[in-house]
Amino acid sequence: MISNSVTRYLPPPGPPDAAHDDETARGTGAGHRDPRPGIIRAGAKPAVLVAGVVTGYVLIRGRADGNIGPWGIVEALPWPYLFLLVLPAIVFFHELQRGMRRVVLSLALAAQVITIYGSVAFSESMPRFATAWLHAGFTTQILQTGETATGMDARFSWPGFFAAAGVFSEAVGLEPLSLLRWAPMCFALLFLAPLALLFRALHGSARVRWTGLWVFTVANWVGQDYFAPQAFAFFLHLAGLSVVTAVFLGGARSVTRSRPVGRIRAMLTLPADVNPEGAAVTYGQRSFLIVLLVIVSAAVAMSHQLTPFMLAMTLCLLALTGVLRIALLPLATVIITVGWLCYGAQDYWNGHMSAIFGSAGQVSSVVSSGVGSRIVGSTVHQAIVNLRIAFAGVMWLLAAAGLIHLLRSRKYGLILGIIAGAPFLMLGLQAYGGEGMLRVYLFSLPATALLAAHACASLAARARPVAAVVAVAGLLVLPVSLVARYGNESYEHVSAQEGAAVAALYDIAPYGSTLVCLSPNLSWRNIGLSQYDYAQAVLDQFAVHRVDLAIAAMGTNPKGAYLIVTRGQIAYGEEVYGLPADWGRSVQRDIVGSRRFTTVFHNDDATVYRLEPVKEARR
Amino acid sequence: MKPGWTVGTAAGLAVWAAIALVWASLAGADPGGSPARVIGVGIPLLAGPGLGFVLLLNIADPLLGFVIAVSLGCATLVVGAQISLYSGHWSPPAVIASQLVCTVLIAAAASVRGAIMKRRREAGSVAG
Repeated sequence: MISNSVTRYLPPPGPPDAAHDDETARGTGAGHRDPRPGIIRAGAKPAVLVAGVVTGYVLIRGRADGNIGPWGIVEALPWPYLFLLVLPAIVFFHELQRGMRRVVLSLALAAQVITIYGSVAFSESMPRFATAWLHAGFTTQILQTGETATGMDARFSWPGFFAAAGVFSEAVGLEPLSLLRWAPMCFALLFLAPLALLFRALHGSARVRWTGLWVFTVANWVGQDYFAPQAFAFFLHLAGLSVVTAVFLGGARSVTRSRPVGRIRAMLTLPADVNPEGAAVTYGQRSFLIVLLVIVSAAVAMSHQLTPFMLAMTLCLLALTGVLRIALLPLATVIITVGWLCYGAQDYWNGHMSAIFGSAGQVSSVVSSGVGSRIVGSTVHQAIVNLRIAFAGVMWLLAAAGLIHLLRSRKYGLILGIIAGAPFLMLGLQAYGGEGMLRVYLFSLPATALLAAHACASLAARARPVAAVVAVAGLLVLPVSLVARYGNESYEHVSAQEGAAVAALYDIAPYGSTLVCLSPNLSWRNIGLSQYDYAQAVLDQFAVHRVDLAIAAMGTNPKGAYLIVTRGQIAYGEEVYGLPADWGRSVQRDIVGSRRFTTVFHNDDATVYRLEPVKEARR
Repeated sequence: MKPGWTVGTAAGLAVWAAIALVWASLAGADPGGSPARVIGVGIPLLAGPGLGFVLLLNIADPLLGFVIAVSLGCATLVVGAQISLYSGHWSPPAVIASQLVCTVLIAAAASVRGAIMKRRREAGSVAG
């Protein structure tokens, strides 16, 4: 059942691994030029990092409203902030070359996360992103009613995160909406701990491991780390996977290099010098950790649709290849995942079998829905989407190079390959609403980041000029990452005026009335989720000047219908639909010209209209 | 991990969780959130039970301990909230209380275990 004897072999005499340069060398002083640095010298880098973060905060606080353009948040940031963005990376890589002090490296990584995520958290006056607002609404709904409205939204079939967030918000006395601003930064910081554990279990070089953490932070542009079940479940997924790899990964029982099978087994076996801490865990602790992993699996299964399958697939692959010798663990994960699908999510799959399994086997359609269908809209929007695709492509290329290098060096690359490759199996199962490719990128990123870091470190170790090119490329990638990450900010951010308009709408509209928006990117529904009738977005009708169709879509609710038009929705039409720049004014003209609407609230960024009954319009 | 260190940390955690329990009970659903309340109540709520188990099991690796503490704490909060939700007795205060009481009990057990181990070690060194 529980194997305490982890078979390991001595590392083979392959080509120089971009440094089996351990932190133990630092511990013994081998990595230090000056073993006893003075207080000023020791504190200089942390002081620079703290000063950089504080300066950045002061520099961009509240600056986003009115300054964000089609390229997203970078247009609202002053150029000194771009230097402050690069500063933690400079400190990080300088320390990586010279000192290898964990405290400084950790601080630099934290500062990198804060400067990246702070670019929106510090500069925007309201919490961003429509889906995050909706999740705050789900949390409020559960908090107030103690019930899940599975008929309203499929996500209520996996309410674990929303229920826990509700309990947390009540414990700390904050409205769920207040948690939105800092959630992405907190999640990004939290991801680093399990990633560090995972990397420690899979790579012998401390330098590569630290670089891998930085690569993950910068390359994680997919934006799934907001106030959402997937961010929470992804953290638990990383935690579960890291504990499994750090403690339970064994390897082939007999390692012989003379035959192909033996060579493959050798590649699936951890070398003796990798992760010695994992082997030090006692039998009793391992038993407890299995219970822990089952509880974590249960929490993941209750919180998100996709993540439990990713966890189960990865663990099953590790078990099937003989790397993970506890079959109980993947089995338990599968049983829990399927069990929750059958029990908790019954309301969902009863009517949505085709949505769940309809795209099984259709890999090309899943890829095209996740990639090709997204290259639409304005020229700038298409350029940003292409940039994201190129970013992902470069990451996968680097990861492939790192994997090949590890395999040719006869090192343990195959385990990393399995962890990186497992999420791709999802392409054959689910389109996930056209987001399948994004999720595959995210879930493969931990392993691909480490493999890419290995490739970069191997390249940099060849010659000084190559190292300089790698370093410059690393620094340049930061602003590029900011464009890839926050390139949609023109329509995803919420200005103070838009926030005020949404609040006014809820004040004006009576319960039971119909609320309509132009496009689906409006940040609302954070309250009154079940008290209002939210109709479909009507951008399609307005885009072709068919106000009559929009009015028909608003229905004939006796309690009234309200239409809200905001700056972000107009920007959405321009960027995603490729509508002309003056289409916002055209919409306003159409609305006023129809003589069916009365303006009930107006400010610079938003207008709320009430649809008047037909009789009144005739008068 | 040294037994003396475990005793002190576990006792500190038990006291922190007890204070958080009283704080959360007195505040109730009062929306007067503050950074102090986020740290004072939020951290033991999210990481308390996990950290208690890390100390109880004497897991020496700090990185592994941190990952277990946070992930187990969050997971138990989800499971507790789900039980409350699906049992038809939705009560956030009850979930908060159960999470913090568990933390107090586990941390107290870890502290007692650490004290016993410390005494045994001292007795062993005296005998030796």
